[in-house]
Amino acid sequence: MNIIHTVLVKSLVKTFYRQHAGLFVFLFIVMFGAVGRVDNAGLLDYHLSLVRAMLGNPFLFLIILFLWFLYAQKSVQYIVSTLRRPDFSFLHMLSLLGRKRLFRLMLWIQFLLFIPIIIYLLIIFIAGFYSHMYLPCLAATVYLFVIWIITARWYLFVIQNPGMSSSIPRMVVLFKGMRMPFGGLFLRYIVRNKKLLFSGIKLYSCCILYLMVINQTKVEYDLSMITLFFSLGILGHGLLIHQLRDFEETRLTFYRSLPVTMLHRFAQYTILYIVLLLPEIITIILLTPKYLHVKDAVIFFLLAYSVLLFLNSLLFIEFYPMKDYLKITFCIFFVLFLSVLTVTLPLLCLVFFLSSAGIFFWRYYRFERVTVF
Amino acid sequence: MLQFENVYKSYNQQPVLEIDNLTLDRKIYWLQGINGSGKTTLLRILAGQIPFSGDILLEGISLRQNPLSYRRLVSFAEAEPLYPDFITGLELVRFYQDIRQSAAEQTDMLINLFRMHRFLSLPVGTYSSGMVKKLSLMLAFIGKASLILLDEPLATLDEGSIHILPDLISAYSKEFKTCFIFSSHQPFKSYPQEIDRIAITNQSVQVVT
Repeated sequence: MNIIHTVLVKSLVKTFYRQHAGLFVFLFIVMFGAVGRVDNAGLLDYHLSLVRAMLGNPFLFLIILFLWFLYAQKSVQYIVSTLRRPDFSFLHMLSLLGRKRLFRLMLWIQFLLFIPIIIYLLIIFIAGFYSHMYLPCLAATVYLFVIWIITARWYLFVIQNPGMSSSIPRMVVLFKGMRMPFGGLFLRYIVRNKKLLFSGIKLYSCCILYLMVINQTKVEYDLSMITLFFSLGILGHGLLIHQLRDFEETRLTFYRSLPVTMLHRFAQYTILYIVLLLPEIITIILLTPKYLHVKDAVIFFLLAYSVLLFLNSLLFIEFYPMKDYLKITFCIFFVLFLSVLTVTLPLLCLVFFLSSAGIFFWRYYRFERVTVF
Repeated sequence: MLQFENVYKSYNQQPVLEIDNLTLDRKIYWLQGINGSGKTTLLRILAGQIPFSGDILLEGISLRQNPLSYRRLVSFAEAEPLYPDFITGLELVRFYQDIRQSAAEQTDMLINLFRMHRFLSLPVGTYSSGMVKKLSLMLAFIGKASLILLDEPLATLDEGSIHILPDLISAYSKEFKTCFIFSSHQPFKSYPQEIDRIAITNQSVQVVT
């Protein structure tokens, strides 16, 4: 690999994967750790049947293509913002290389960024050829190829036109003139920067809840296993919450010195997490009372809500690095597991609620994000 | 007006500030000290942004006992302000105006003074560092705070704005009896009336008149 490739891979590709490591770990756990144990079928059989179902169902197929689009958008957002950073301004020297060569380089960069999708495309191909579903395979390939070309072309434009800023972001126009609540800033941050992570988490938690609950029979109504799988999705929100707190500690520090009551501050989070849980709330409502008893529906909601508030408050004790935070999240999963076994979920929800409020009120003004050397 | 009571702050077990007892009158203070002496830390403590041991009382209101009332009296412009890229200047101005319950006329006056009209409808992400600085200074002047803290207010400002600031400080000091504490490595072009100096040396703070 020549020096230009090396520098580009180091500057753009490695940093992308490093920054989104949490998302990839989550997806890996969801795809191979948790879902793979749904039944006794082998992991490969399970994924092959999943891909077959996806290829045979246009709705599912479109969801997957949409997720690929979000991933591509995420990578574009990352590369463009990196190219516009002052410390990476040296990369604009690349425009001296000539259009064709630069385009080839950008194709190579996007190929490296697309590796997770390409691997999944290969799995689709294998399953598609086994099942003689050639058309969806071809459609997926063409779709990915088109996105690949467009994104590379976009990078080329940004490098060749340094300093040219895009028009006002859509969300700004959408929210213009509206009174801005503090919690709304977090939602806008998610819409702008964390679409893929948010969609992935929601897709998992809502799908797993819906699909597992509708497969319940009235004779064998047992929600223990469903609760555990649903909890994984809820705990997956930890990745998002960590990034929201990071955003708060870097871009919203001004809010701490403003005259706002503690109750109001806490209320901002309670509203934010209700809004974030809307997809799960809608899923639960759709399932109740036909497939889910009202009492269980309430417990599912309280579980999700109390866990999110608790995960948020934990980061006011200390801003744990992501890997430590994930360890804590696994510990919480273990506590949830014990609670499911001992049928004490309502009590645990109450403990999470009270703890999250207690920690928040105790720690908010005492918290400071400090780098320890 | 401003009382420090056994204020202590450390990072990684290293003391940064130790102020046993100190009282400041309602004046304009220039906070001086070498790099790393704790100027920003002191301003952030006064703004209620970071925890510390001890207590600070502003007009007799304790930061520890009554954090909300205290924060109503304090306003702060950071040295290197950061805001969400997607938010517009106007949204931030409205946000501050809402929380500080200030009059629209005051905000309009500040927007005129800092010549921010053209930029306010744009997202902060499109601003230069000087523009973000101007915005943060403008936000600090929204409301009628008793104490305004300015961390390196002159850094990255253009010539025009550098001249505005002393006049604005003088006006607020006369009209609202506002106390100012600002840190700066460079002197103002013109001085807003009489300025006292606060020196930070070896973690302790002294007023130099």
